[in-house]
Amino acid sequence: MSVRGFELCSVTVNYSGHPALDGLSAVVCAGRHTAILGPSGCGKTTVLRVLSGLAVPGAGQVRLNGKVVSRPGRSILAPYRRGVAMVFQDLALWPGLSALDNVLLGLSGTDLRRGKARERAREALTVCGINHLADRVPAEISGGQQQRVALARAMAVRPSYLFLDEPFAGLDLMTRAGLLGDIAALADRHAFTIVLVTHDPAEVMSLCSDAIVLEAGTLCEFGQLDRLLADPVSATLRAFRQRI
Amino acid sequence: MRPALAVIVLVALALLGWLAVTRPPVAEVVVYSSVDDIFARPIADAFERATGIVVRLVPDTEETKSTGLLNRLIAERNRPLADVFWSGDPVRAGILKNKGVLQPYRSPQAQGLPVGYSDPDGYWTGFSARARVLIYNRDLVTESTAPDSIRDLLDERFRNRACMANPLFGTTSMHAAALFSVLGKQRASEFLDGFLANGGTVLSSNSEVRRRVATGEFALGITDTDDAHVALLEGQPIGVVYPDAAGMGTLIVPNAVALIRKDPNPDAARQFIDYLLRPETEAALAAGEAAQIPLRPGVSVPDNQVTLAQITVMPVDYGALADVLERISAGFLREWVDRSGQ
Amino acid sequence: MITALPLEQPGRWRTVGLMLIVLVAMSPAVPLLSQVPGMTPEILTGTFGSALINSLKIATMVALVGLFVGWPAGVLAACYEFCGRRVLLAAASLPLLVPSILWAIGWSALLPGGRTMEIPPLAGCVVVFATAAVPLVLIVTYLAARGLSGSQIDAARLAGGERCVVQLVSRHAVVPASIAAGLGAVMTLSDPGPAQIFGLRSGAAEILISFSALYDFSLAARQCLALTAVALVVATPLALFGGPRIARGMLARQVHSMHPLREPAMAGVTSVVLVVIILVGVILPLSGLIRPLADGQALMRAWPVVRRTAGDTVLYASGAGAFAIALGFLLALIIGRQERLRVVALGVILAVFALPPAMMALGFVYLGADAPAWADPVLRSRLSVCLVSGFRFLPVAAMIGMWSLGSASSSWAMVAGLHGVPMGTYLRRVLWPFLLPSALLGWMLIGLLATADIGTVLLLHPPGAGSLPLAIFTVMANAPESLVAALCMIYLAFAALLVAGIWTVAGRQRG
Repeated sequence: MSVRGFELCSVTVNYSGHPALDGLSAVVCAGRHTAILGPSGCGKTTVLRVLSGLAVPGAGQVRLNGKVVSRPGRSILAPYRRGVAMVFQDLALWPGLSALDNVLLGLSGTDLRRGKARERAREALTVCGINHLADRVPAEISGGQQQRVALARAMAVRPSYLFLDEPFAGLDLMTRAGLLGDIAALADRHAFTIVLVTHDPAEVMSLCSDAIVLEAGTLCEFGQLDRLLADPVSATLRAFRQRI
Repeated sequence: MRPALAVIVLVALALLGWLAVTRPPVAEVVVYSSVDDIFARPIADAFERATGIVVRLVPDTEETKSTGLLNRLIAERNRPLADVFWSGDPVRAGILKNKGVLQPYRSPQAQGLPVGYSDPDGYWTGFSARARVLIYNRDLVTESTAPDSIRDLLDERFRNRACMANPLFGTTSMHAAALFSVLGKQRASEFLDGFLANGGTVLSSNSEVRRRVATGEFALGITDTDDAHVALLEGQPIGVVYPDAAGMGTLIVPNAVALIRKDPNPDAARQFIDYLLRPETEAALAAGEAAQIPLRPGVSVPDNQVTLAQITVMPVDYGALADVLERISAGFLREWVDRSGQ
Repeated sequence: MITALPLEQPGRWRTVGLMLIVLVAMSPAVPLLSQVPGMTPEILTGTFGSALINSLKIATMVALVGLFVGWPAGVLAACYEFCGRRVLLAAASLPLLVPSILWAIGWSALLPGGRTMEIPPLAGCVVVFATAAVPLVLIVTYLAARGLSGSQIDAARLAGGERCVVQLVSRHAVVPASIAAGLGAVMTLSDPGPAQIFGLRSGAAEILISFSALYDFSLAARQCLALTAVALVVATPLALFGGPRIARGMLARQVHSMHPLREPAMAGVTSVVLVVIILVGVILPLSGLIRPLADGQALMRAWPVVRRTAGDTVLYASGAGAFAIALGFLLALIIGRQERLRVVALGVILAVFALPPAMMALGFVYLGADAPAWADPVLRSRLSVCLVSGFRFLPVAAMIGMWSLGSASSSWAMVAGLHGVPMGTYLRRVLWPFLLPSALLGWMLIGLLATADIGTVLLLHPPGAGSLPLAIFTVMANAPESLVAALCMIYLAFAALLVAGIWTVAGRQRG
């Protein structure tokens, strides 16, 4: 029976001869916000890249709703056709473009006409609370505001999956709490699934219901978060439980 | 940024278009010239005024400063851009003849020019000459000890104080070929070896010889009359000697003009050659800064200028010099320059 | 539809693209290289061998002087602001405009009695060549240093004050500076001028003899190949060292660029360093060059020459810069972040850079002569000069491109790929605006270098379309020294204005 969502089937990814992921099998179920946890360098960002099609597996497969979308050495379904949007760890805002243009350019992969695309972009900026900064370039706004632009760009495409790669690093508590709340609300309203890479237990607990825990590119445990926390196997979750 | 970018792109396209466009058709003649630009250009301008034919003058640098025009002519020979080659010495023209770059042309205006200064097969015609002269620094050398022969370059009184230009290039190479031709291999080799043994220095060019004798770095040098004349015009403290008046004579270096094979503008080319070979042109070159020596008897020169009749001329087979130079360049001269440290 | 994603992924197209561009850039030299019947090791012995050793000595010392003077000067100039900084930087760039032989003549004119022979030839050559190598390294260091983010500088300043800032910037810029020093050194390999003035036998001078005294193109081509092989040996360690490190990517989050600081003490040190460089590298040799300039009459006499050649001079400089930057940045895009490709590319382009300009130019003349007349607009026009000069300076452009692209974030292309942004749109809207400041400065730098390359212009310019530096060289043999001095002065004054203007615009662009 095929899973509604993403499946990683024995995925191996190598970078410069070193395995970033080694035979990883896990599932991200649609509708269940999932956290990807583990120590630094264990392959969390690589998982996001493989799921989104930005990286291809050296071995194994990636499936989406039961269909193979990535094979060894090949991305069968292009990243922009997977219904995925991502907020990168470094935000990846295009430096010479205003906030509005960043979001507009992000709509290139949709079939929207210019006028409609502009409307959608404005809407996304408004939803993220930064429409008043639409004409500013990233260098002219704060870190938190840049986060919101990156989020608006991701939201504008109305994704089915939103990947967040340590999106709140470096933000103050108030801004972080505000953004968390906004993202959760957006996820409910627009029915997309969040996949969150983070080290922060509070973020995990407030957003996610499932977790995938990695160590050194291999799977330690995955499943419903509360069940995992009840009897943690990995050092990561044990540390998590202590901090909650 | 976008409007600025659009402007940059448009300007770039316009420039490219201009770059690529060939000239509109106009009566023109393309002259490649190894004669110094300041001497050649006034003549070319005068021809333009007289005939209405535009002269595209392509001057050359000193041969030690770049891979020069001769190589361009040789490389272009299948479909040349040049119509005429105006050389400062006949050896370059001889080399081009040997490489099949030239075609013969005997100009009607060559009448009166001594035939000994031209190619016997008509591939180039000699006119208006320079001479190879000794120059000495007046502050370092008195009239009584002034040189009178090129053999003075080997004299003890000029030990470590004499210079010449690199004999692989320019008129110095022609002079070396002339010495081998006139003196024979043994005596010519002895002369050059003697120069080095006397502490002589080889410099990069005739203009360097002029500069450094004028500043007193060297007491004596051998160069061309136009270099010497320019130094005198600048008020430099130099004396000029036409060497070996009582001996083998002074080497005369005629200009040589030649018609390029397959030249694109044949009529204009012939007109330009005819213009160059007129007595009036010789007079103009004599009166100008080059102070060149007319080969044609009876051409007027400024009062204080030496005429050909006043010079003991070295008897040289100008038509054979290119072959001699080719032989010695790859052999003795190459090795000699290596020994000189230049 | 092709998205921007392939720009951040390996692929066979990169190797193919690299080979194609190198082949295209080398193609003008093919007619001459094809005349080489066979290379034997004997070519490296005897006179040519010892000449090559002299050339290598000169190149090594020039690289060291260029690096240890230009690198700290570039670091300081990037870090500290003071009144007149851009003017001094523009003045320091001037030697790049000037053919080295003019500087040699300028230096020799300064000596009492013009006693060039009393200067050790090697020292004389190194001083003259270093006059151009130092500003090259300085400019590249400056550009590299400006690629750091403001927060990185602030962090260093907080950690250890100005000493820490200078250390950080120096470390960041050491690789581009070393490669620029290597470029400067490689350029000396193909330039015979100063060695001839100071009486030192160099490889380039031997090649010039083969071309201009022996008219033996086959021998000259063999010698050029030997020179290139030696340059490859020298360039390989530089490529291995510099290739992987040519640019560390800047995190895209850090978009606040570095601004020079107004700090009186360090500004004072910086201005002194720049003034010394200008004094030694520009004012002294320039004073020797224009010393004969006695009166305004020479200037009047020079004016027709300037009027006749100014337009073509600007055209050749602009065109060469444009072609070089277009091809160089394309090469950098093709290489991307592939470290192995970068190493190979660096080694190859540095070795190719050692080829004397005459090889490419004469080869192009052959191509033009053998081609049908309809090809003349490309092969026998002003375009030809720009093309061949552009090919010649492709290595400089490629290095600027590699450095510049390396400081772009890889995430930009990834997010563009994720959002389905077409490749063309991404290049036009995101990457090109980011690269534009470096491209403009690179265009300027290469334009300056190309202006000084008289050999290419001499061999390729359409009749009647010479450049001002070429005119200086064609008159200098027997023109009055005051006329030569006047031409040099006009040329340098115009170029100095242009350089100053471009530095100002570039500074405003960066913000």
